[in-house]
Amino acid sequence: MDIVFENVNYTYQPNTPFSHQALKDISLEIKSGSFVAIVGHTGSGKSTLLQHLNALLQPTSGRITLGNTELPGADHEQIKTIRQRVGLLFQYPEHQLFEETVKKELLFGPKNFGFDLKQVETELSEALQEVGLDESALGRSPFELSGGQMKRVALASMLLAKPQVLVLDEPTAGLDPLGQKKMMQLFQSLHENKQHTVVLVTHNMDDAMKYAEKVVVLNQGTVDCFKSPRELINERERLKAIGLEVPEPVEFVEYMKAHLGVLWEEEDINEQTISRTLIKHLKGGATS
Amino acid sequence: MIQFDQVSYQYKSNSPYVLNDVNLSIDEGEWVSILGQNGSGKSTAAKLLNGLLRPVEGRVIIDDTEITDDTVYQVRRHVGMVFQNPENQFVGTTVLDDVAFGLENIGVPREEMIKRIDESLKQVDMLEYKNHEPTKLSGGQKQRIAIASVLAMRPEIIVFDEATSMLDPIGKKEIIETMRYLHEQYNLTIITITHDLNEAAYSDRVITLHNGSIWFQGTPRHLFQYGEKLEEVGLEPTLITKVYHSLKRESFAVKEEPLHFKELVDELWTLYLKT
Repeated sequence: MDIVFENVNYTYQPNTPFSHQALKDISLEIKSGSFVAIVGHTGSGKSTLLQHLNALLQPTSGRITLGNTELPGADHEQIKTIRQRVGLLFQYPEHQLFEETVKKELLFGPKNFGFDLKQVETELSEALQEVGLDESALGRSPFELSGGQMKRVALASMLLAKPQVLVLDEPTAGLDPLGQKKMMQLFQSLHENKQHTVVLVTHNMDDAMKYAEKVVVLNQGTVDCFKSPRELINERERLKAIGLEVPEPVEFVEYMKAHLGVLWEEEDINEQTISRTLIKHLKGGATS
Repeated sequence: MIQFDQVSYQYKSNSPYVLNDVNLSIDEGEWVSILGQNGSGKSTAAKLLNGLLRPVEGRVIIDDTEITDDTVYQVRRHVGMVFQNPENQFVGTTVLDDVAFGLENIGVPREEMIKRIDESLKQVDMLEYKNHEPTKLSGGQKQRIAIASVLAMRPEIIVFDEATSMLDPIGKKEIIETMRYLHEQYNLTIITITHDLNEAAYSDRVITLHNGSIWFQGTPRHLFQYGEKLEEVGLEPTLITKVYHSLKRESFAVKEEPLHFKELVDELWTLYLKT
């Protein structure tokens, strides 16, 4: 399902002294089946925007179209359908887990959405396997688990509700490097093999540039730009000005160019292309 | 000085040991990184350092005092802790209240309290935010307030338990800068529990844990020589380590394992391009 924002504004506590406009005139389109990253500094409006994606918040003015549902104006049933179709993974898994056992936790969403629970029970072990957990976790309390494991349980329970769109808020924060890589690869495979739309909200520019097809850059509640990672690489100064760091490899290439006079001819910037370019350059330099 | 003397720990009597016969010692004024993947035992080690957990076997000794039920509160005054999630450590409605909280608890007189609050906020470069609400600050700023609260208690040792892992890259840099400053200016003993090798590069020494045992102990430079082997213990070599090792495979004469990309580029410049 396509997601379209048209001139969306959102104000917290309107008409009070605490009134704060978090989103300003946001227009953007997230195509069905695409992989989009939303990046921005603290306070840029990232979390406000993501809560609009499954109707936890609705625009103060403007319009959002989620598939064939429009916000504001959707009724209770329509909103329920949206919540099933758009899965949300929060940054802090402990905020979304509450059942006594992992099994109950996993069944909660599907039960709420009126799924056939007998059928869902047969899918539990596969769902756990998919997120990298052992079946023995089913009988344990989600609160005995480590942060990384809790995150995986929250993810499995999201997947069991069979969403079309996965909205992920800093999904790898706090995981170790191996865990981060595995989790990002899982999202990529869900995107590629099951045609899920993925919306990744992150401050990790490395991940945004590596995995997303397009990147929304938010700054002070507005869309600063909406571009492909390749186009964004040329906007280093602009990103820095709004408090975003460019990925480390990009910074390294700039340093090499400036200090070694390296000629950069590769399209992608990653450790392989960096090594290749350096080796080529040094071989040339050493013989001359 | 901190000493682990044959320390083992398990959470329940029938569950596996998360630390297994660990011996280590950390000197006064040293900056040590404890590295390892999730489940390696590094956070358990951190909690043993200030008596949040007590060893099942062995002893933890801080400055000649073994941590026991009788000494734990005394020891805790010397060992401050900064945790992973800054959101979970705020108690005050303003930055000032928050830093004051610990001091009130130990009954520091008002005059002294005001002095210490200003000093510690200055140490983390947050003095101008004294009357701000903590909730409005960025992740890096919140974590600096948490550090100020710890500093106000005047500990000799600060343990950072994955204190940068939830932060954006700019917040991470802020915290690492703060650690360097405190280490250099005040000779504090700093222990960082982390899985980020870029962060560990700044420390004097690293201890890598794997499955509850010490897998490596030495300088960061020495650790980085393991290159891709680091992945076996769940650590990701830094970009610069990967690039350096691919140059080495092509037999380029680069002398020393680099810690940062500037080191590598500068050395290449000297070696190959100066002539």
